[in-house]
Amino acid sequence: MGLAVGARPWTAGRGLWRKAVRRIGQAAITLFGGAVITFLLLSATPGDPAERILLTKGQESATPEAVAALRESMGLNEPFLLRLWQYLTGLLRADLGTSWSTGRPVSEELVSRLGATLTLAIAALIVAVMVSLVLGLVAAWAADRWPDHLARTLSMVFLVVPSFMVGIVVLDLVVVRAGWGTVISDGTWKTVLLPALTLGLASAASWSRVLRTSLLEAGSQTFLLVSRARGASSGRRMLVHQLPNALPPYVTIAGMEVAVLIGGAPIVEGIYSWPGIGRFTIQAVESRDMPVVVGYALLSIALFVVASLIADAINSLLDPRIREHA
Amino acid sequence: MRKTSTTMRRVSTVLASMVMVVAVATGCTGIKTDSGSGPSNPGSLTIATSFPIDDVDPLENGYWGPEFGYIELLMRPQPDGKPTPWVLKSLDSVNETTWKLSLRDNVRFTNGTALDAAKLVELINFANEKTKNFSTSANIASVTAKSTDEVELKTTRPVPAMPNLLADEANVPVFDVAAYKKFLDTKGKPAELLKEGLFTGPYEITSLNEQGASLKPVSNYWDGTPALQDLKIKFVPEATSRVQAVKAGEADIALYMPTEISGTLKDDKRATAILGSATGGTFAFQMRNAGPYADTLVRRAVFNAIDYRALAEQVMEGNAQVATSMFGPMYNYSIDTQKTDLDEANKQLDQAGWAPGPDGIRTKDGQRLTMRMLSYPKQPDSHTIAVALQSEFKKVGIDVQVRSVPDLSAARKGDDWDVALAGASLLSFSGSPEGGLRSALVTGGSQNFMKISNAQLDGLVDTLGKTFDENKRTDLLKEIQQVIHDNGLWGPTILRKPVIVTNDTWKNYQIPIANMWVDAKTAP
Repeated sequence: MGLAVGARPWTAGRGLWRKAVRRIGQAAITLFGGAVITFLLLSATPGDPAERILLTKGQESATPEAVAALRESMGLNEPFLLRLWQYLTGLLRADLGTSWSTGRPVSEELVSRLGATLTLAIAALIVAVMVSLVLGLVAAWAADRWPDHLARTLSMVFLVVPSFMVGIVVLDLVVVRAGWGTVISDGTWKTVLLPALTLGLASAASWSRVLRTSLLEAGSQTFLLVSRARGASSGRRMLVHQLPNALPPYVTIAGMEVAVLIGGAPIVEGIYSWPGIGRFTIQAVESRDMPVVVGYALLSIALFVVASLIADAINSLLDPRIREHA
Repeated sequence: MRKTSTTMRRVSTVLASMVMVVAVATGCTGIKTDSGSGPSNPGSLTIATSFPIDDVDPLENGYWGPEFGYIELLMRPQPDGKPTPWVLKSLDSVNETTWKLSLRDNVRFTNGTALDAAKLVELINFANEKTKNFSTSANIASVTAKSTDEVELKTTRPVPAMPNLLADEANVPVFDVAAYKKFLDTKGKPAELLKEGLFTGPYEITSLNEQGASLKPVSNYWDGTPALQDLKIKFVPEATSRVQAVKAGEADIALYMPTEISGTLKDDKRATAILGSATGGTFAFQMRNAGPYADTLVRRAVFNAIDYRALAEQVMEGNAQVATSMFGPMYNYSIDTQKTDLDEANKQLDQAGWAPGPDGIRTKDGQRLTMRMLSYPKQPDSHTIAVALQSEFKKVGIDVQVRSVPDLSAARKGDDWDVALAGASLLSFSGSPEGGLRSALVTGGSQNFMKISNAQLDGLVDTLGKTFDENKRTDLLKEIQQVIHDNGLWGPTILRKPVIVTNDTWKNYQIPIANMWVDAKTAP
């Protein structure tokens, strides 16, 4: 089942491994490219990093001697290619440099906030999956009827209203007026629902639209005629036949956006004071803390690559055709 | 039909189960969590602020301590710019290079150690060694304990601003240097400094993380029992969220509010915006000494063309004070320098050879009178003021091009600007004008981005730095302001007022000087 016609199982297994290795190789090249680009961005940042660190540490004006000494200790006087090499080899040791604002390793700063960000990402993912499934299924099941119009309108609203506005409105209506939940989140499951809703709804909107289209496309396939002829209800046809066939595009787009969710959603984290990577990155952007910004960019690239790999793997499991043609 | 409804029931059941799972997983049962408690109790105070405190390392983050009541200073800043003794009992000038510092007899660090003269000597020497701004301004020659509670401080040159230097939160926060050094030797993490009891303030931080800090009153505080039983600081970067935290009862006071907030809260009973008095903070009009603006006549014309009243009352909707002087009317040396006079501005530009062109913009030798003006998003009001000035200057024939730059400090180091609107003050944290004048306006000053060089001003500022006599200092400061004005060197556009938001319990809270938000007597 699921093997190419005439292929022997061990040959097919080797083929799959080759594909997996090739895919991981592509991911590694993407990561390498991302790392080089982020290094170039860091190098092109206006201003002297050494001077900025000194200013951040409270010195009103950094003396040329102090700047020169710090430049030397940071290795900023080394040739460009040597610095690039040191940067790339540092990445292999998870060394993302030192934050200009806090003076602590960027990797430590990001890891210490990863727990809160993962909590939010998982909750937002649950919200996004639930809402998108409901909206997508309802819209496809009642295509061109009022439930479809309602579901599409809702998804359009979630899509076009910026998340910071959704966040502010939710805080005002739900917390301030209704007295439910908290404005200041603590980064735990206790206070995750409102930020997760704000973050998840935006993703749910685009996922539900993809799902609806895929479900309708699957609904026009000939195999459904057989199902219908055998007396299957429309609900059964939708859930048992159309949905599995419609899932690969849905999983692909969800996989890509999961990386965004884990990346911390800076705006939402800022509004809810969520102590995650995103909020920290906003503060870094405001203080022009480039190592943190670049570290965040690199982490986002890595997450995107990994999430894409996982989405590909899930799609391969869901759809034998993808296994054969990947 | 029956099958369809059965399927829908199943789908509904599945979805309802999913909702239950999420609700249980997130624990969101609709009940307010702990963060909602505290406010409205007069014995407790919860402050929402935008800036996080990373740790209580007095070298790196000591300046937050005096603001939130867990660290003290030797001298206390005052609204008139003349600090009064705080941890010190007195500070006396023996002669131009000698100061006598007398300690109160019952000041103790939270770890129980007494703050005596030996400890104070250790502290001042440590600050002199580690804090560059303090060492360059204080010019300390020696610090000696004369008795258990008296210290003699000698300087290499006269430093009349010593009281202000000792009242600056960035200079000498009072802490137990020996305990701090011992801690560093053990290579403990800064977070663990909480347990060391290094400070003398009325409150002690019991927990600190990225979300906020909890403080409790110190039982044997030297100046009586602190007024609050419970003090919390919450770090909320978004201004809108800070206001909503007050409205939702999660905070009593929200700090660092944008000025326009007072308009939006006019009819809101859940939160009140409080405007403080202007204390010297301005949006400074920094004009580069280059191109057309190297001409004193043009510079003076530009300052005459600013409609200071319109900026404060209309553009800023009354949330700023009209800039009539450089330092603000609360200082006795302040003189009125900022006056709007379009006729005079036009006359000065005519005299400088800039004639109105066909489109109203002045030209000279074929060159249009343009002005590249910088604003920056971190201070949104700077852009609002820049746009207003654009239309004001058009009236006298200056074509303003406003450019918002992400990093004003970096932009001012380049050559492609004429004017920068910077949230700045010529006064130090403790209200002293000397440091600001020296760094921003004296030849070669560290913040002299405008490349101003005026020998008369340099000489006056130097003399001020050596003059102790109050009357002579007042005269000197008046003369300095006159020189700055006559040469069009620097000026404010508006005097900024601090804005905070409070709940009903704290609506009578007075905005303190120098961001000292909490002290032992702070109460509703």
